[in-house]
Amino acid sequence: MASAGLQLVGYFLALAGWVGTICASALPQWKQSSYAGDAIITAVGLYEGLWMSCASQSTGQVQCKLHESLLSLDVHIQTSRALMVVSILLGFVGLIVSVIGMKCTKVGDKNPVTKSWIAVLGGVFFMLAGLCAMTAVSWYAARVTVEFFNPSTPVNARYEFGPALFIGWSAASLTLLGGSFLSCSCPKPEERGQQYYRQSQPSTAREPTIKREDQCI
Amino acid sequence: MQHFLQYLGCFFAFFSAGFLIAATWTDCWMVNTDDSLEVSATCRGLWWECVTNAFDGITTCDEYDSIFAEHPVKLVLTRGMLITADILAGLAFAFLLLGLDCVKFLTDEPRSKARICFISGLMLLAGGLPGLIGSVWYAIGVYVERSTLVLHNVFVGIQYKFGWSCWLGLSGALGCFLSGALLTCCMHLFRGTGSGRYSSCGSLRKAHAPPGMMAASLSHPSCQTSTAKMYAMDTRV
Repeated sequence: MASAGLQLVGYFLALAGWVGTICASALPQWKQSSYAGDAIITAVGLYEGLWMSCASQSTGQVQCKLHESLLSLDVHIQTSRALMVVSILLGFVGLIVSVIGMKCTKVGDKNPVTKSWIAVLGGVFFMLAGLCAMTAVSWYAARVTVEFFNPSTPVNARYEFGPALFIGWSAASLTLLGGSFLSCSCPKPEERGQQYYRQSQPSTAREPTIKREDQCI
Repeated sequence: MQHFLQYLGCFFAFFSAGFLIAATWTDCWMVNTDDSLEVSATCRGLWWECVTNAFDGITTCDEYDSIFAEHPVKLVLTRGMLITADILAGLAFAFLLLGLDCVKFLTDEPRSKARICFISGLMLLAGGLPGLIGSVWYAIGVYVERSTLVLHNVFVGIQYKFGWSCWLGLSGALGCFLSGALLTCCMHLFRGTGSGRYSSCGSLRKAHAPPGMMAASLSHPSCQTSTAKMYAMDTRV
């Protein structure tokens, strides 16, 4: 059974990942115009994100425009949007559930086995959230790569990875890591036996009481 | 009652800290009004200003000049005040989490937990003050600017009114005051009834007692000693 410290570390990692996921999905820099061609000095830098596309002038002005119609968008943008939103929602649920399940709170202290199962559930939510974000970002990145190496794309209209993709990758890994830390609080089999014993079911496992006590505190 | 106040204070502290941070980094501290043509919406914030065209939906944002350039006093003061308020309110919220009753931190010493709540309430009050000063100063600046224009009957095309970020900042600062007051004054008022101590002792006993007789009997002395400690401290004070 994991210690309370491991749960806390996992929770804060997942929290950081969740905030990073929100930042990544809001940022417009999912892909940016590359300078792979001959033109080193350009007056306009182009960005494109999930929600808007922007043009940054050399004078310091940034012009942004929301994507117009939802249904005329590319499939990968729509999927990435949906996956990012789902990831944020799952992370939110995970945040609440794992607070209930973590050992540093007093909620539901009477049955520690259920409490640690709740912590595991929160960790699973976080891992699902991380997987969703990872899928969205990787899919978008794969599309950007395919378009970049497509010979029919003109050199001046090529895009490469933007900062939001890297933020998204790191946020997704943080969420996955935090979720797996939280899931380490899975109760051991002898404790489950103990719980069955307590629910007046015949069981072979009979634990010394002192061992249970230091698990709960 | 004391615990209910704690949770209420925590709730308000969370939202007011969030509001203050959102107000600092969003760009609608003043929006244009009285624009008879209604072709664009201008939002000016603390860090940049944006113009949204009503027809094609293109937003053009322009960052203000370097931080050392000549800025109006209102802008610099509001920036500084709001950043101070953000830091104080955020730290107070994080600190308050340690003092909450449901968090197992210093479980044996309810007095120090209450003190943590009190200190974070003071921090919230201290954070609400610069937030309120900054937002009100900005709002007064906008109001004075507009009323001078109206008074002199000048129509320069764009006049400004308060934007939603300004309202966010104001409500965040007021929420800071509210939760700070809940955590300091109200907790102090209700401390005298003494009901909070016994309930905290009871919850302590519950928390330490897993469904084993031995553990329950073990946890009794610790509860008694903590009560005894409290009584000793009370009589000394």
